[in-house]
Amino acid sequence: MRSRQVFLPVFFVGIGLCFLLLFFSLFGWLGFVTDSVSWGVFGAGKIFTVPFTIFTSANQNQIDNLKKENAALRLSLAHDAVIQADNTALRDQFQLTTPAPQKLLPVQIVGRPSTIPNVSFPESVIIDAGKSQGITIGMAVVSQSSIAGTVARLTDNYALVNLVTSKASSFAGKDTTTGAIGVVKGQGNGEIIFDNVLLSDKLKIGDTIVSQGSQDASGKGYPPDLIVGKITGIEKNPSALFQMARVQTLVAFDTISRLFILTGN
Amino acid sequence: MKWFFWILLLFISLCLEATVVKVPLVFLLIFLTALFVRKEWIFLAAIASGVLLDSVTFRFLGESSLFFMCFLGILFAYEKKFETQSLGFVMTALGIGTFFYALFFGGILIAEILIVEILGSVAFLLLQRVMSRSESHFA
Repeated sequence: MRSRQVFLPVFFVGIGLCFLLLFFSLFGWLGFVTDSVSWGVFGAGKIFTVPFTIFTSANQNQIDNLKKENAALRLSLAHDAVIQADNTALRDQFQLTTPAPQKLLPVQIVGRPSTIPNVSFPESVIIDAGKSQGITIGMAVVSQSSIAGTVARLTDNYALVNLVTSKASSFAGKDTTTGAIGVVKGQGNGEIIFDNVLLSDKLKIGDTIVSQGSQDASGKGYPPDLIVGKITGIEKNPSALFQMARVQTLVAFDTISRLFILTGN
Repeated sequence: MKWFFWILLLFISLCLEATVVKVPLVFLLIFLTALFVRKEWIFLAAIASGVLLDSVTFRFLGESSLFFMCFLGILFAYEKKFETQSLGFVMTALGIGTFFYALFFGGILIAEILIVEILGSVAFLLLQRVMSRSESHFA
């Protein structure tokens, strides 16, 4: 830095600019900036995932052609595999009766911002649908009959989904076998607990926990009987008022690529 | 050419931080740039990078910029008191910076701090070597 006389004014002007940006952003006046940048970055992010399958060789034309053909076929196979996976996911989802297929909007996961692959579990995911597709904050997100999370933040074309395993997640649930009710709470790092269950209620390892229904008048929230997961452990202290169970979700959030939003219309 | 390389690095860091990893790569880039390029425009670059980062991480625009500005302010304010071009300073500053970054913008992860420390140290040593080589070349 050349001199403190130049440094200080630039620094304070910069700080002022940041506060100005925050002010405008809080009132939603900079939505166009967010949309254009996220469109560019997430678009480029998709390009990074395309496998490099082009081979080059300068020796023989025939080998060149064969290699090009091979590369094209590999690309086509990779493309087919993606379509097949999407097709299977869509078929599985739309064959279900709960939730009703007409209420589902298929979306693609384009980012897992809080994840280091194979080190930490995603707390939230970014999907390629936003306000333009009619999505609003609080809508439930599912994968087959299992709860995935809720829409937490939105731009015109993208949304941030807080997963059911995140610490921000909490809703009423019940044990399908015994009918015991309690509160499903995300613990972060892929863990869920079924808490506040009365000591007199029975819980069993392997039991399925489903949502009890937490929709509001506008239809936002989880409808009843969506699967949360299965009980893998029970913590029961005779001197405590409640017992608690550890629940394992059936959705592989670190690898899944497609989810479905319950739009309610 | 230097500008192009820097913008390319920023874009790659943005893409990775927004879609794949939680490691604060943009913060690391700003820090290393500030360490070697002590010019006023680094503040402008910090604000612009912060705005881009906020746009793709669903934060309010200006949050990251404010963090970067405060960090750079502290860094430049203390540059005469400490030997900023040393590995010890880089590791300490990065550790503290990443800790507060994780505290403000996400859960604290030891792995996150470790990755930034390793990446930052390697990049710092490489840049230092490149800088000293180019200086001796022009001497």
